[in-house]
Amino acid sequence: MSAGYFLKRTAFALLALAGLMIAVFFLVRLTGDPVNLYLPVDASQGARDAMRTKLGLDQPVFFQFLDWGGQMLRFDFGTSLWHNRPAIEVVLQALPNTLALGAIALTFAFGGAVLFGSVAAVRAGSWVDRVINLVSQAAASVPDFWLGLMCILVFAVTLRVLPTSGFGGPIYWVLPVVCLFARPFGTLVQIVRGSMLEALNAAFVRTARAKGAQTGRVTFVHALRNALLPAITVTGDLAAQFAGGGGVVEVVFGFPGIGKLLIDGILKRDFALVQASIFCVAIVIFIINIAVDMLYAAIDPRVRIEQ
Amino acid sequence: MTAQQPLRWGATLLTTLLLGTAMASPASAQADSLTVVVTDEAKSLDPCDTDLSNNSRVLRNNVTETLVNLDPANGAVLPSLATEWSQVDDLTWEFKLREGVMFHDGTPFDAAAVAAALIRAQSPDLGCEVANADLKGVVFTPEVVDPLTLRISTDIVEPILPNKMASLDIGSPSTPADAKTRAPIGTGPYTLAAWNEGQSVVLAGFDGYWGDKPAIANVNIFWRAESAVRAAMVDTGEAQIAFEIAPQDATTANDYAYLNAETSLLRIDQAIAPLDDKRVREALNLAIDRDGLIGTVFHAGAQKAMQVVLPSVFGYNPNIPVWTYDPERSRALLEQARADGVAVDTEIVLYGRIGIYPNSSESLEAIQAMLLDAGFNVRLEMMETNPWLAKLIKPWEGTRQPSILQSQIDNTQGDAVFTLPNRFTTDGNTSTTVDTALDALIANASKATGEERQKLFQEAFKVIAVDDINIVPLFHMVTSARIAPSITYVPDVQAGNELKLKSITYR
Amino acid sequence: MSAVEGLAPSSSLLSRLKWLWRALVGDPTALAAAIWLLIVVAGIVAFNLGAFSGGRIDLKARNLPPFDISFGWKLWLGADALGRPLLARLAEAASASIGIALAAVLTSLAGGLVLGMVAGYSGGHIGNLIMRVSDIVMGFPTLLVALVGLYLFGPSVTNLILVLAITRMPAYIRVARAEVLEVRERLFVDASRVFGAGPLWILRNHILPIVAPTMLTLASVNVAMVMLFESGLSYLGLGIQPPAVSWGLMVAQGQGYLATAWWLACFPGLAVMLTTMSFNLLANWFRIVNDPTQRWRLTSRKRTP
Repeated sequence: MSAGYFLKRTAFALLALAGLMIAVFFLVRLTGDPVNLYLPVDASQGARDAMRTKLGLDQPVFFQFLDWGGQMLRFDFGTSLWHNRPAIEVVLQALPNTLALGAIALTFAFGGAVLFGSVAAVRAGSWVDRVINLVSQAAASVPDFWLGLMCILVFAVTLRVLPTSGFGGPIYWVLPVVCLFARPFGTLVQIVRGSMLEALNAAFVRTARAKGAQTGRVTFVHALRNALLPAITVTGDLAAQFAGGGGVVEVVFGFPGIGKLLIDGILKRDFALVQASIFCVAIVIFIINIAVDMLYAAIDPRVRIEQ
Repeated sequence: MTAQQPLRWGATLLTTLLLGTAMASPASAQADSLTVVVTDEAKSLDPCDTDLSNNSRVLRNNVTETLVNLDPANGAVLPSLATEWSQVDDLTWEFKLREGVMFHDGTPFDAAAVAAALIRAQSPDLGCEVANADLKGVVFTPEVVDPLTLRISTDIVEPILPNKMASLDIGSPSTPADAKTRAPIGTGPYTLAAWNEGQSVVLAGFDGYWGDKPAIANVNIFWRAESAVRAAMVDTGEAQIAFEIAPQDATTANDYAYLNAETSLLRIDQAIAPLDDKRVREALNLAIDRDGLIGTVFHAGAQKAMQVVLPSVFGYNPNIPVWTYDPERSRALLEQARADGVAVDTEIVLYGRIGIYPNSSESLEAIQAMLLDAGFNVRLEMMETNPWLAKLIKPWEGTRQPSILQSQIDNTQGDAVFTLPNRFTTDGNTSTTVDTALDALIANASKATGEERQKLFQEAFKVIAVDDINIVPLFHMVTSARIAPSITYVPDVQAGNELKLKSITYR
Repeated sequence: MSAVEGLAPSSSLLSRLKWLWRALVGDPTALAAAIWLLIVVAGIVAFNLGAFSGGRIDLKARNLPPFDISFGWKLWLGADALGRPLLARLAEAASASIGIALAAVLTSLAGGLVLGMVAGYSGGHIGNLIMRVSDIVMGFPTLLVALVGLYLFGPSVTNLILVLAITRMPAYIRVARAEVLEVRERLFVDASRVFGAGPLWILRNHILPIVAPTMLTLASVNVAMVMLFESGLSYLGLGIQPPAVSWGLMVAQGQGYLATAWWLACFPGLAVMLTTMSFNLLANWFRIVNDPTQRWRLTSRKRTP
């Protein structure tokens, strides 16, 4: 991967980022004025107007946009209305939690999927395959917040082996990880199994087998490598989704991640916070996409990076 | 490699994971520490932002204190940082302050500190909640007479000035005057030890407290959005008090239901036909089976309301009858109105707010069904908070459809003046009522004192509920808290704003 | 659909159906999935024909437990928090859930296919523009888009469908473009080009048939995903609003009763799970049916090597 490619890619990403931020600026303002949410119902019209002036919301949107553009050039995301401190500070505090949560869940999901997916493919049609297929389909289809609440009821309330929610030592991570793990695991097993089957039936594997290569080697060198490509693509997409936060799962478990922050920010019309979160998430997504491309190239020399 | 091998590895991995997690057990309670779980994180923790429950539950009388407190039973004014007070003239009150009180930062508590806090709370640049909700409409000017004597004068007559001082939390003079603080310093029995953003607030006992040292030295406050999760935390020992437990979860012996100072109602937009016809508004009230709602979608402890304040509020009128469920009469009234040419078949929107109270959308679905049965043409529209506020608060944009709006009114300050002017006079910013006689009545009541004040407010409540039928009152609401049997804690009507930590001990 | 036609080119419709039937019976999981979907469709039809009439609010029957036949078959699955028979509610919600998911997926499939093929085939500035815009849309939190839609246009099913369709579309665009890029360079496409075929002709006759199966697979997986998404949005109060109902909303409303009336959240949750599973399983089966190298698995009872 050449430096030129990287530069070009970065330039495109910066353009896209600028586009995203501009779109977010206008979209978030379309969801209504925050003033009513932040003042008591009894506050007078004067107090409401004063707050609008203070926040610059009384200006025409175009001027607000210019102001905001100037701030962005200085990497100033403004103050979070709800948290009452710099928005970027709030976001950078939550981001590592979310990234760690997503990374753990996806690592387990990917590892498990490669394992169970290839087993299912090798033994296609057997009862092992059917069980793996059903379980993974179920995992891919379960609503995550529902799973979360069920897990709380079973493990925290009934069995009392895990805390219901919160943040702290490893024990607090188990249930959120399990809930985030389910869907990617289910999806990835399907993908690994599907592409493995395809690869196993593909001509070059048959050729390799005909040439006398051992079954184990055929399976794991030729087929698995081919099957990994789509799995990595999907994992990359999932990672990008998770960078935006475990969303509903974070809400259910009171996990202080960026998904919860973003949902709260949107519901509380905390414009600065929403913009700062989306900015950071977009950067993470960009890094993930680059990493996926590099992995691709490393695994499959045939893949040419488009110029 | 055979196919079974990876399977076995997977199984081993999973088993290890599950066993590993099962070994460790969740944190449990210690004798001198207490954990409380609420719905939402505090917003600012500034002493002047104590109108919202998330802030004020942490601060009020725990970290910061007020000059006076209100008796939860009857709204009487009780001494706290002030020991006595008196009215000097129409526009001036004098407060004697408690001696030997110290802020957490070592600064002595005196009249200058109170004056600074009062000025700061009214600063237009800060936009304090206390100013916007409790002190508004009046300018309070402090004057330090001596270190323990303070006079407060007002620009207009303020007969309930001491009540209003119950809303003003006094922070240390070192609190920045031009910016909100996230590190409040007060005189209360607890200091703010830590605020782990997104996770918890930690309070620790203050050794220099002027009153009795509280039994519990360390308090953690967590927040969780789900009622079921909050309730479970008490069961597992992760918390000792969990607030706002939904009726369906509040079924154990540890759940304690208490009136929470809120009254639910439907606000009628009576400017728009057919709701401008009194018979139609009466029909709305008669069509709702309030008894059927209690104990089902509303908590069994909820009380049918006849007006929008609780009996403990000054000005409450005990002589207004509760609506009875009479669908026959409701239909008859509608027919009468129809015969007189009132457009009773016009679609009426029932605006609801998601999560305004537990089971909020179910309750409206039930009410919608009852109104449809009675012959109304009602469409239900559930909204998120901000758009709902746009329907609640003036100015209203565009042409309005005939509508009724789900709402809830709280009054923790104990006087009808905190409820009536804003909601039922022509200029009130959430009022749909336009009635100059009622305006005058409420204005006179606000200026009066004693029995006269009570009589006039009672009259106003009667006009609203009976003569004009401006509202569909529903219930005086109860909230449940789940409380671990190991502690003594009894929530009262102020529990929404005040978590009286110093009253709690372990059994 | 071109994929079905590829099955057994020379046979009559009847024999093709027979063949499909044998293939379905040969795969018990697919058969179970098909049966479940049939039940759901039957429920939707029955509801719309008014078979569940009388499913009114009855606060006395609130949270009636399930599996007690003495209350009549309508209450066999219990009653919800307002005393409405859960069976009727599930049937009513089914039409909304499945309708929304199908409509959203079809919209994003159609849009994504067209845009992706254009981006892949024409390349250059238009292609880049499409890809950058879809990157931007990918970067949006669906929640924000949903909220804007809800706030600006009011809570309606159409808005929800649009929100779900737009936020899912980039995935289709990317897949379609990737496939087109690959196919474009193949010999037969080059040959057509040499023989003077126009880009539209090439897209329709050479590229679409190759891209379509992948896109359909993606779509079938996405039906499941969109149903889950809708339930998540409803859980946060940003999806379907009462008095309308969907399975997702039922889970969201029922989750408050998990500890006391588990059936309220459990049954719609199960319905979501079973339906999404069925879509996935049938999609798999469909792919295998259309794959000549794997088709034999379904019609012969022989086990794999």
